Amino acid sequence: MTTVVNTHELTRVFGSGDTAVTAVDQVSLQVATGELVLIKGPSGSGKTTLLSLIGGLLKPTSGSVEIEGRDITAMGSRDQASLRAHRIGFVFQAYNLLSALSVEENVLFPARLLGKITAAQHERAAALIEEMSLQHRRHALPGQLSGGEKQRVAVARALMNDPPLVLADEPTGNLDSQRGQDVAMVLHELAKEQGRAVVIVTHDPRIEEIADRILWLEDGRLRDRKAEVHDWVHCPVCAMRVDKWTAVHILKQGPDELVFCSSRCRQKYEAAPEKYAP
Amino acid sequence: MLNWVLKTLLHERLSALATAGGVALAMLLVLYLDAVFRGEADQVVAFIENTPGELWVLQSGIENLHMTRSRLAEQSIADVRWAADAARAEVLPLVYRDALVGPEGAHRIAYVVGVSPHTPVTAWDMADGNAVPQPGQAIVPAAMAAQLNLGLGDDIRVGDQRLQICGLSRGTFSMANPLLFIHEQDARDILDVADGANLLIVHGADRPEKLAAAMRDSNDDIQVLTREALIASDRRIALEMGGELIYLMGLIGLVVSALVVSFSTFAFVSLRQRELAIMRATGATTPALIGTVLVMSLTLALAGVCLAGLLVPVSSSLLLRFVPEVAVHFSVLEFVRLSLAIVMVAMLAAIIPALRVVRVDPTLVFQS
Repeated sequence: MTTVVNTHELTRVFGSGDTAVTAVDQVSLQVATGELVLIKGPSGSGKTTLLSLIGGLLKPTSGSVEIEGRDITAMGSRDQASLRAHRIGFVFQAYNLLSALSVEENVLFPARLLGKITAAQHERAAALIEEMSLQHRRHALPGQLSGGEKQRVAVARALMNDPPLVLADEPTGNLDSQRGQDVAMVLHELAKEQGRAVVIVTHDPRIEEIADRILWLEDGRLRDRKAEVHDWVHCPVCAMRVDKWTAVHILKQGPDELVFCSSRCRQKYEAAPEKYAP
Repeated sequence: MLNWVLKTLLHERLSALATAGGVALAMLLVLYLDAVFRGEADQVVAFIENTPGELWVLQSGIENLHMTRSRLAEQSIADVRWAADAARAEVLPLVYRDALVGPEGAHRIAYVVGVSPHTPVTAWDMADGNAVPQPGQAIVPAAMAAQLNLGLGDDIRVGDQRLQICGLSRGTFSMANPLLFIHEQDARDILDVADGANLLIVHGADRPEKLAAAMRDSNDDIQVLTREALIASDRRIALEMGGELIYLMGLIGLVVSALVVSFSTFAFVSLRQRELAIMRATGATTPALIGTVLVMSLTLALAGVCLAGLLVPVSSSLLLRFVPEVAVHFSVLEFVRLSLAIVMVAMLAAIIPALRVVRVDPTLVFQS
């Protein structure tokens, strides 16, 4: 297995001064070929920002991103665009198909960015459409497709230029249970049968079953977590149940650890610890 | 990218058609104004073009038939005849001047030509009636007669005399230069040209330039022009009358086209931020995205040009059917020139939408 994605202390800060928000905070991450990595976390935890940084859609404030050993943060915008076209496939929650183009034209679109369409590319598009069981919808416009069909078109489009890396943002977010399962299995096949590195940002617990690794992102920081492993404790301030495995607000007090549900509860505790003594 | 632009425009065909229609209407505005002035200029020179004579002799200092009054003295006519005789050319004296014409109480300016039964100078295309007026008769442009609600046998006042319409002519009417043909003696009486002539037409000369030089040498009070020079001079003065207006309307047409194309392209880009973000995310470069805006702007402008090209013959045939007295002459060269200007303006109009497309945020693709 070779490393496809390698981020080193990746940080992205939005705004400045008092209003600065650190969306991604010193994230170091490696994803290898054939690996399916899931990034989970609460809303606003920085998952999408991390995906944007890995895909070269955002510039980091500090740190680096390497795709197949090439540092994309040091590249110019033209080289980044070329790398995205050749080496990265994107799948989005909102499908993001081009509304005036047919299924076949949407699938062929990334190839058009590389130049004139060849007969081999036409054959590849046809094969991908067939692989996604969309051959009967080849000439349909996105408006005529179901959600599941749209997402399969988006997956086919992401694979058109045969990228080693697929980045998916909530790929099952708009799909019902059955369609979501279908798309999850397609993504699983991309990693396991085709040897691609697949990074998925999702809230969908169904995808946990197919992931090799689950990473928990909260307040911009990343933690490894195995699927279905929890260590439930209660926040000493509000008594809310918190998974110690994924919690980031932890205060060591001698041999004990206090786990808070949020920074607000931690601040309350620090202001008046005697009030919350066990 | 071109495929996406064309497919998207086809997908949004109503708004694309509205934009092309706006450009086409702005073009038609300019083209029609130009065509009306060209048509008018054609009509102004129609008399010279349809009258035989290689040389036209006018009073010294006068270079036009339109908007001028020439008067040649007896001595000038004699000198011209002498020179023409030497060259075995024929000289036709002509009474030609503006006068007020129309039924009682409705006077308008027209040019009146005195017709002698012995000369070939008269109306060249008759719609109805007699082409050679007798004393007390007049040949009136058919379009003018229709405007004045007159017909064959009706009376028309020319200057201070009442004449009977004996013929209706075609190709002799324009808004600024309608031509009436009346008997030569009536013309001398009405236009107060008892002797002499307003101009002379010389034809039959083997070497017109040499004869023109001889005429100029013989008399200082005359202006000798070849037919081509007189046509060019009259056409120029007819177009110069509308030159500033044509220029101004051309400018307005270009500005309107630029605004229509720019607004449409800008709206198109604004409404498709997400699709442009998808392209950027999937690997489209900034120059490629700017290219899509330029192609779009160009496509809309060309569609407008094509639509104008289709509308010109259709609208002009309708115009001629319902307003036959208006002479319009569309120039292919003017159409090409205006089309090129519209295309260039469309490229300039794409600058603002292009600036917007440069700022498209690719992370828009993550918004659900």
